[in-house]
This record gives sequence, C-alpha cells and structure tokens, in this order.
Amino acid sequence: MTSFRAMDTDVILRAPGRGAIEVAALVRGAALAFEDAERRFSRFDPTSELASFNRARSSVRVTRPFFDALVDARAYVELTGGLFDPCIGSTLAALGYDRSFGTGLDVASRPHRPADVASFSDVVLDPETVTVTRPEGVTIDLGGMVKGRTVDRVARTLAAPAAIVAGGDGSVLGDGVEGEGYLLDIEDPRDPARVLLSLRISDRAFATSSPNRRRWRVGREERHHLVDPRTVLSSASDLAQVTVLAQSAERADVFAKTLYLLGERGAAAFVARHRDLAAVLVRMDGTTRLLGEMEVVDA
Amino acid sequence: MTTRAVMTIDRRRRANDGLSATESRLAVITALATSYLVAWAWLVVRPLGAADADVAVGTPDRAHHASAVAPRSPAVCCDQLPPADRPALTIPEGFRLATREATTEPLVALEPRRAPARRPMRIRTRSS
Repeated sequence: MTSFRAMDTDVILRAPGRGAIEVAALVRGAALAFEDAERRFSRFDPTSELASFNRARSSVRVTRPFFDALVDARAYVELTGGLFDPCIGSTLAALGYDRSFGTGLDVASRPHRPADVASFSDVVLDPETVTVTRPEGVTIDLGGMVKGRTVDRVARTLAAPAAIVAGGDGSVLGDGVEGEGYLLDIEDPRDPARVLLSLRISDRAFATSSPNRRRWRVGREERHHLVDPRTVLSSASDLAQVTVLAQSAERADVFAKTLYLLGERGAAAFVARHRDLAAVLVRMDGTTRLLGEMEVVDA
Repeated sequence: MTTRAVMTIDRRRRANDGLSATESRLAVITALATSYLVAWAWLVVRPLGAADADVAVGTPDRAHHASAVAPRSPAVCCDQLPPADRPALTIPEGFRLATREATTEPLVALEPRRAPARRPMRIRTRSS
C-alpha cells in the first residue's frame, strides 16, 4: 500500500503481488495524473486553467481535456435534472466555501446570497473551436467529479488486482488476488470509527457523499458543501450519507451527491431508473436502506 | 543260532501289524473330523452358487426378467423406450415427470469450486 497527498486528501494505491519497483512506478504515474488534474481543474489554485477560465470575461479557448470534462459535465447536468451543476461554484463561494478546508473552521466572511444563480445550461460549448462561453459572474467548479475522473484515469493504467482510493472516491480492479473480492466498509457518518456494514465488490467504483466532513460556520449558521441548486442553500436532505456503486468513480461521485440531494424517496426512484447503480443510504438515525444489487457481507 | 534270531524278528513284525487301542482311536477321530469338514465345506459353498442356479432354474417370470435386463444397462429411462413400449405410470398427486435435462441441470451448476483462502482487501468509505 502506498499513499500520497493530492486534491487536499489522501490518495491510496494498492497493487498486491507487484514488486516494490513496479509499485513505485505506478504511484509516480498516479501522482502525475492527480497533479495534472489539479493544475487544470483546481478552484483554489489561481494558476489553474479553471481559475484562469473563471477570471476571463469573454469566450475562452480551452485545452481538450478541459473541454471534454465540461462536455461530460453537461451530460451529468441533464441526467440529474440539474441537481449536479458545476455553476454551483459561485454559490459555494458566496456561502463561505471560498478556500480549501475541513470541518470546524469558522469563516469570518459575511454571509451573503449570490445575486444571480446561473445554470450550467447557460454555458456555451463549441466543439469546433474548443471554446467555452459562460454568462458573466458565473464560475465553474467541477469539484468531486474531477476527483472521480482522475481516479478513473489512474485505474485505466492499472492491471488487476489493484485499488485506487482518493478521499472517498475509489475504484477496484478485478476480483482480488484469488477471487476473494474487495470489502467496502461503509462508515457510520455519526461516528467515523464505526462501520455500519460491509459490501463485497469487484470491478466496481464507488463514492460517498455526506456533509459530515466539510462543515463550517458563517456567523451562527452552520453550512456544508452539499448545496442544493433548487434552494441555493446547503441541502436539508433527510439522509446523513449516501454511498454509490457504479461503473466509474466519476459517475459514482456525481450520483452520490445527486442521491443525497434527492433524499430517500427520490434516491430510490433514481436508482430504479439507472440499473447500473447501487446505493447505500444512511438515514439520520443511522439506519440504512440498500438500493440496487449488492452483496452485503456482514452488518 | 541264526534261525532263532530270524524267528524273533518275524514275531515282532506280526505284533506291529495289529493296531493298538490308541492308534484305533486316532483313526476314528481323523475319519470323523474329515467327514465333518467335508460336510461344512459343502454347506458353506452351496449358497454362493445357489443364486446362479436360482436364475437358471427359477420361476418362468423371473427367468425371463433376468434374461431381458441382464444384457442392457441396469436402469432405463422412459424416454429411451419407443413410445409404444413405455409403461403406463401412475404418479402420486403433486408429482410430475421431469425430463432428464431438467434432472441433470442442477448437477452441472453444482460443480465444485475452490473457496478463496485469502482475506479480501478492506477499503473504508468516507465522504468525498
């Protein structure tokens, strides 16, 4: 097992049965992929392509990977009925999430609501010129989608059996060393030391969304990073946590947030429409609801 | 002198020709034991060969059955017989005739598979 730090989280790579030199090369490759993604998509790095794009006042010619990510983001916006919206970045900044931090920090900035909340649908993508035009004052943040996308990019370079996990977004390749699979322990959002249940997975990606790790205070109000585009406020979901199993970490990340925002009833209907997904919903009281097909090993 | 000596030897040989009482008893015991063993051997060996004899000399029905089945396989599925030769079967209520395919299918699915001895790699979720 080898880990490194990227995207303000720990990235863990496991490649059992491989020699130290091979593992070191795999980790170097993974680290380079994450560095490249941060250089391109970080909202907090002023030198990133995304930061430059968000500062620009007119149409911007972007790099092909950046453009491709925006095209995929648009597809997710449509799939989720607008619950996934990369334009939520400006809202997040307005809510006080204008720097990279964890739970508990007291943000001194004065709370304010964004004047206008634009949708990602207002952003124009021109594939011929690879240029992007966005409404004035709108900033884009691909957030966790980029983390999942980078996990998938690294996973494509690995041979089974292997696992790559980046702060909750992960992917496992193959069925373990001898067909034993991988055990995914679902953390209790109320007590991270506890495991609610374990799933046996193979050749699957996963992601978890919960407001328990990125909370902050603005004055007397507590906020979290899961903003509902319908209310433009931190979500008041009836769920405490959602873990999604999908074919890619990018899909898992986007849909974990979507299911969290939808709440229990909406999440069940959404998974019923997307048969490739499975999800573990954790209610506020700690009870769980399993959606889709999965193998529970122990509870 | 010489003649006397020869006469003495002849007398002894004549006396040896007759059996003593002990020798007679031994001879009788040996004869009885032999006949006893022969009788037992006949009693034990006879039942093993009797089965074959029964088939050959049994009732006409049994003899016919044995001659009909013996050259073929011990079990014959109904669907292997021509439709005209198939026996009329009375099936208990709630039962049904199954095809041979249906009978063998579960056996194919139950092929032994080695259980993995290795413990799976554990991964902990956390909010992204």
